[in-house]
Amino acid sequence: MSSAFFISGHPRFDRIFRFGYIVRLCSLVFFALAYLLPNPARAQNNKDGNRTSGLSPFEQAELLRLIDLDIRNLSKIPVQGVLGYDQEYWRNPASVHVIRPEDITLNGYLNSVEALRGVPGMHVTRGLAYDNFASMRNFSGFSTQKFLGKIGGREVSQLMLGSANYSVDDYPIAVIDRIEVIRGPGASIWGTNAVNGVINLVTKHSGDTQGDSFRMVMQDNGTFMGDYVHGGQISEDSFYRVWARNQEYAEGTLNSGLPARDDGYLRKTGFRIDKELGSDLNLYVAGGFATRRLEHVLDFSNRLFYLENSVGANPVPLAFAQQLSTLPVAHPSYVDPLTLPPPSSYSPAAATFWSSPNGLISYPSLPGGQISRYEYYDVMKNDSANLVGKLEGITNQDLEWSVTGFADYSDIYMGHLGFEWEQTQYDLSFDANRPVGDFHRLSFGLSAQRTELDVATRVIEPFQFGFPQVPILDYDQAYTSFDRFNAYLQDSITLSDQLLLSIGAKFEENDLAGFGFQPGMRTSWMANESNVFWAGYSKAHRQPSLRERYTTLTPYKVWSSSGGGAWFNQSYPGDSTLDREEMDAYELGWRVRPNKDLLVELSTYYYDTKNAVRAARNSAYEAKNAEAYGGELSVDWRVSGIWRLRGGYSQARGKVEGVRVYDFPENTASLSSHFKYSDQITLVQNLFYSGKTDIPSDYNPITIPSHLRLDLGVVWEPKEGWEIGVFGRDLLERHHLETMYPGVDVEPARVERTFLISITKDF
Amino acid sequence: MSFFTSRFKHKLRARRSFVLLGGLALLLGFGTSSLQAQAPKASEEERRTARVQATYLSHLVNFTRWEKRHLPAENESPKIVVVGNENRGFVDSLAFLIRQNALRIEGQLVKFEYFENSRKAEAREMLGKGCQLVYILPNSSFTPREINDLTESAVVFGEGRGFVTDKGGDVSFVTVRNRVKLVVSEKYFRRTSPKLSSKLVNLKSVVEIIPSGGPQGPRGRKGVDTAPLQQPPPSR
Repeated sequence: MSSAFFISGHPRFDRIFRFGYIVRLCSLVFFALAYLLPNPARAQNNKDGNRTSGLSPFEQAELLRLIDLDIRNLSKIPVQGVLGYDQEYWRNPASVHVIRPEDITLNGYLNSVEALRGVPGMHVTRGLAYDNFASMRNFSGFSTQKFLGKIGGREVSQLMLGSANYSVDDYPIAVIDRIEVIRGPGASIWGTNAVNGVINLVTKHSGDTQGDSFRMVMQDNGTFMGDYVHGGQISEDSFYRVWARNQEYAEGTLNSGLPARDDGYLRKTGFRIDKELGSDLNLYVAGGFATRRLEHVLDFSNRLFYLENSVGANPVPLAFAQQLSTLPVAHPSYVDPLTLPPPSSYSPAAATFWSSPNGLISYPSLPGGQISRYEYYDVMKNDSANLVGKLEGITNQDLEWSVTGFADYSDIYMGHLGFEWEQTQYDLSFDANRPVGDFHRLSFGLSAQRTELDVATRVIEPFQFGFPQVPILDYDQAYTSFDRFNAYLQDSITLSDQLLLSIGAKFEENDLAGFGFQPGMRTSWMANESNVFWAGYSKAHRQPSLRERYTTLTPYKVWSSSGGGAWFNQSYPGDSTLDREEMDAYELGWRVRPNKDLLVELSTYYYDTKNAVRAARNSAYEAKNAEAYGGELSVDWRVSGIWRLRGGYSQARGKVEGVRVYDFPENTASLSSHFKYSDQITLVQNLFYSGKTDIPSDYNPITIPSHLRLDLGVVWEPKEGWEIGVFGRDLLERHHLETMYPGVDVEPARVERTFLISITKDF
Repeated sequence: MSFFTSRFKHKLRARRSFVLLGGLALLLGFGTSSLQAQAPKASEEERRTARVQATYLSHLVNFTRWEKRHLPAENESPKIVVVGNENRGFVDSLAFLIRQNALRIEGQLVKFEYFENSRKAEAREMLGKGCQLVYILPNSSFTPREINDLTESAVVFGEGRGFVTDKGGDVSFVTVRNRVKLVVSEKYFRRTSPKLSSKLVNLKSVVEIIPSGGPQGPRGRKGVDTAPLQQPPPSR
């Protein structure tokens, strides 16, 4: 055996070895390509012999972006950028993808979260009730919990689940300016929870949404979504807009073929007022209200268990035990019928839940070949309201500052679990930056946040028997108020014309994560006019969710045949001692623009996480050490004036305590083509591939097979500002699975082939 | 209280990070100092400023109206002329935008001309034939008055507030508070041709309007034909 074998056998050396391997491999590729590629700017100079040849390809591409801005937005372009804020700056040492409103409408996406499917390193899945889950460079735990979500200036992650509901928090496309997807931790600016990255949805100034705009999307299954936005001018320097969305959900289908009963509606309305208080002194106030109603399902087919009175016996589903009791007495699997629970012990009346099965599930290995199916449906309510205010200005000393405050209320009731929480959150933050000398720009800020919770639980009908009766999710009422304070300081340093560096740290005192210090350092090197290399190190924290810490999950009940028999609750308590996750993240990236029409980006990462929270078998969650590494390659190529191709590939590997895990697809890829057939007609094609994933669960993990998705569409622009699109989605198969809720084991829903028509009128 | 329990629990880990970060900061601090001592001021800001200015200028062409008397004959292209020397990429940026966006004045494709200081005589000849927009770079020896004497159909751009307030130019770019802003002479809004759309009046944080009289009294174009400056009605 070689010595390398021994070295790689040790976990620490193994990690160092792997990261070293990535670094070496990337360095080799980077340098080879950077220097093998001809200097395109000079080449163009010779070829064209015109004045534009003095611009680098990055500069040319930036000009094309600037010319799309109106004069108001052009006046907001900083001459000297701040690393970490100016996401579209090509020398930004981070992996950034920006989604524009047209990326949503032109591809036939219903809402903004669907548009994340095309971002390398992101995995978007659709579950029940039209909820889309987005995860990023993930490897452990519930998919939506590892990045920071900001929408319209608000942090939208719920403390309870540590995740956001992007379908509810979404905005009409017409008011979205851009969605910045920053992969990798930006700890020193963004702070806690920006572990795997940040999604920042930025809305437009109301002055940019003047007039009327609407969008209607109708799917062949009956789903409808309509947005209307109206903007106007209050005075010479004040603008407003109001908007409303109505979304009607058609009923989907569960994996079993049963109806999902997730038909319902989402209604939202909102406003924004912008006022220019003085030169470079602006105020905006925005708010919104949303209400959603639909049903959610919980599968109860295997939630009653039987425990035989013998040493070492494991509980088996009651339905199995009942069938095993019909076997001959001599059969090794025989169960004595007298030890089974009498039906009256869990189904005291003829009309109870357990006396009304909902069809059958095939189990060929059982004597009867099938068992009864039980599904429990109840309403899922989501009401929310928010108010945001931001005052921003620039002083004559070039201090750029802003004060942002928001209040956010949400009331979420998960009827199928008998669990409801009301969350009220207040947040106030101050951010500023200013130049110091010719080479430094200091960014700094402070923020305070308070979150208050009111949690209510009830025992749902299927579990209303035995003693004690406990809800499926129970919350420790001792924890209902949480504070968070933080401060950060970052210096963006211009080391030379080629070399930029940012170094900083965020300090945070958080009731859920304790006191922490999250340093970060990023640097970018402009090797020549078309190649930029960047590297970063961050230490990022993620606070445990309240679900992980303070809730007890009781997913099933067990009949114990000993002592005459009794029901007891099988509970998995949360762990109030769960510490924050701490991640050391190392990143390397390369951005090359051989010409203004082609951009290639390669990002690689290695994450070393302590206390990663994972679903566990003997408790609800446990903390383990984990590592993840991988990379993303993205290409944006304007092949000609009429054809644009965008593609991406990402590879991700994760290990928990040295064991490889698959809760994030190891390989994902996408290819998007927009071909302008004529001035009015654009042909759209999108292809997505996702490798298989394992969904962790307390007792029922499932595997989601790999799948390939093809969307085709035609967009017709009959006149300026109008867009009519016809799209076919998931054309390669009638339906497939993408995700399910872990922990409580909601049956996954089918993602079905759909056809839709969208009509959009811009302002 | 989590603050006290966690602070000490993570003290060691935080200290290690501090030491690491401090070491790096020291190292980079020395590196920066030595680099700063040697390197000239970075031109990245200036190049970005130039790109933003060129973009503004492309937009302002679309916000300007020229009467037929101030346009070339039908078989000739309207002209944008830049005079002076520069190395910030402004001329390249403007040429790129004009070509890339097929910039038009009153429906006609624009022709772009650039004259360095060494070609002043050629520039004078070109300007004398008439053009629609002239950009005077800071180190050019041309003045707005001189341009107006050569061609009355041109709107005259330059840099610095004094270009409008003191020298009688129509529009100038200024860099304040890390942003590029516009200083516009009121006469550019008032006259009938070339005339800037009054939509820009509303953009107070972008545009500073200098009254026609200006601090130095009326200057600029000879025989200005003016109309009252009206603000546009609120959008509906």
